[in-house]
Amino acid sequence: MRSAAHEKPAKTETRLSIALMVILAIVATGVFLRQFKINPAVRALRPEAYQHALAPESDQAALIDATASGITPFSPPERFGPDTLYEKINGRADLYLASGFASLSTQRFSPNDAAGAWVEVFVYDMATPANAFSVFSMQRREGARSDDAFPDAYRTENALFMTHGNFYLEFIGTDASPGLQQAMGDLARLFVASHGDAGAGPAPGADLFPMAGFTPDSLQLIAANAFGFEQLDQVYTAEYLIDATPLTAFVSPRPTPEAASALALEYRQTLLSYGALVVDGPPPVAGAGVLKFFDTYEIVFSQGRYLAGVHEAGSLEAAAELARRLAGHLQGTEPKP
Amino acid sequence: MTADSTLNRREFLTRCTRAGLSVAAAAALGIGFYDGKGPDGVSDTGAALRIPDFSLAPLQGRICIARGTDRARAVGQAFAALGGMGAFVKPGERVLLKVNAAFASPPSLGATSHPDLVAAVVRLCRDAGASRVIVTDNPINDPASCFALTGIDAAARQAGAEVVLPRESLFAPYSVDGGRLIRDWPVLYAPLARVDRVIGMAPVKDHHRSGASMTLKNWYGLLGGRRNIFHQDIHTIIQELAMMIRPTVVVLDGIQTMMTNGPTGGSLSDLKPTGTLIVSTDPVAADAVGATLLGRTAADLAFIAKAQSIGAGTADYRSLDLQEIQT
Repeated sequence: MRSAAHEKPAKTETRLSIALMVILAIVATGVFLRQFKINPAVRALRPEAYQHALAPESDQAALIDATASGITPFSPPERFGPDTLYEKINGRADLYLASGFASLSTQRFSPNDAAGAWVEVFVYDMATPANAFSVFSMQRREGARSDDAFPDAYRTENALFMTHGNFYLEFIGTDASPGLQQAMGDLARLFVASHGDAGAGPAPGADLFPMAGFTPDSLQLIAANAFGFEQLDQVYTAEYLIDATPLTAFVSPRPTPEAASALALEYRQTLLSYGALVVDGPPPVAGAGVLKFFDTYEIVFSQGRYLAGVHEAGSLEAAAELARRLAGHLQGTEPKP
Repeated sequence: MTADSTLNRREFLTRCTRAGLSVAAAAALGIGFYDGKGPDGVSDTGAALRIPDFSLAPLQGRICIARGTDRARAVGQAFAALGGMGAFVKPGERVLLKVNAAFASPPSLGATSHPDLVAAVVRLCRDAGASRVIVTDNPINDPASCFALTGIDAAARQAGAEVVLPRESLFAPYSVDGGRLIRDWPVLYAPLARVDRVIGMAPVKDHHRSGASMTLKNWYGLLGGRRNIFHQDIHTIIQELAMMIRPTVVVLDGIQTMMTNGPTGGSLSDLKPTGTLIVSTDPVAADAVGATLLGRTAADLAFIAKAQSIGAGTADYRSLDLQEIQT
């Protein structure tokens, strides 16, 4: 048997070998690139798409250490990220995602003396206190009572809702019993104690609005798509009662005075394009646009780095009065960085 | 080095030719197997699958709005007003109840089908002679927890139904004729293939994305996979679900309505007693009535118009054979 082991390859052989290696490299590259272009239906059919139990991390420590409080976890903690949040709260996930959602941890707890009843704890990490306040305020239940034990908190018959630093928390009881209400408070205190002092200052945005006529607990932060206008984000709103007329004031800190002015103009133009009409007469605030949109009035202006105004007012006079108060309050102030 | 170890020109060319032929053959095989359209993840049976039309032509356009507070009584009297469950389910038939078991939350929060109502409908089916009653849904949460903590599992079993939890083998890739979104998408097909009648059961809920979750939206629970991608076009997916499923009858529970923070709610204050239960062979009409319980109109909910446009029913429920009863 002959062997060419020690003979220097001919040039042709070398070229052919190189060509073969190049072909193999091209094939490998093609396979590598192709794997990133899988039809979504294929992903949907993969086994892990059905294994609902895969997402929960059941071997972790309890979300809240309630050992000494007579409250026991009765389900494992679960954790969800931006890609899996819908698995827990379905269509409500959009609200959180638009507000800067980072993660959600949940777990059910049961007081030792409450047979068949439980509290489910939802801890949303919203990355910033403002984001946490946004989802807290957007879901505030009407008629709820404040919980003085925590700076930003309210209770309903069966639940406690609050913010703490970057966290928005829900404690959802299965019923309205006093025992579960007690357990919710205990769990909230334990969580706060283990997550540092978040401060007891005013809610984000509270200093943007004048107090006269302000409706308590009505402050909201709309993170995105405020009033159905896509460019309007990070808009604080507050409810007022002026001359027995309910009104909504809004303020949005923008990066520069020019940006605030441009957005005010753009918003007004959008309303006009949808059929709003300009109201004649001197505006209540210098440079403000006053529009009639169907049966309501809209006042929009910018002041420094603030876009501000009154939204969907039923009375032009009351709206003008609120706009004047708002402009006076904002005058000379600057948004916090 | 010896003379034997030297390749001559002829042998070298022969080997090169063989190697070249091998490479060409391998490449030909690769090209032969290459799927230019990319993998679709479906078996060749996917296109052949068809979900039957479970509706009953003689019963089209029937609707009963029952007022009351007791779900079992309301649904019983509503079916009685429409001719009795016997008009919908014949002796020996197999019935599927597609409930809403989407969340592992207690029945008190109103986020899911109420176990009392599920049990009542199961009993009505059994009393009508159904040979099997199957209760199912595909929650995104852990299904066992959802069925257990909502109370649906225990209620259904005690009333004589089988509870089918979703598992991989029950899904099949499915395409809706004329559909744009439901193409080769995993659908909880096996239970549908084994029954003669389908009853949709849903509570009336606010929904952050679609505006409302009622009987038409309830079919979302038949989809598998990462179905949240359809949230971006939610009214169209509901329309396609209406194309996919033609139920025998639907039961819309508005005894309580989740007015805000849907579809999960969380607070009892999200609920409002609205004392209404709708039974209808027209799911579009049922949802149109449900919209009024939410303080909205059918025109406020785009999916209702879309479902109507493909012939799934009518939003003008008063044009149907409408019965209103007090229970």
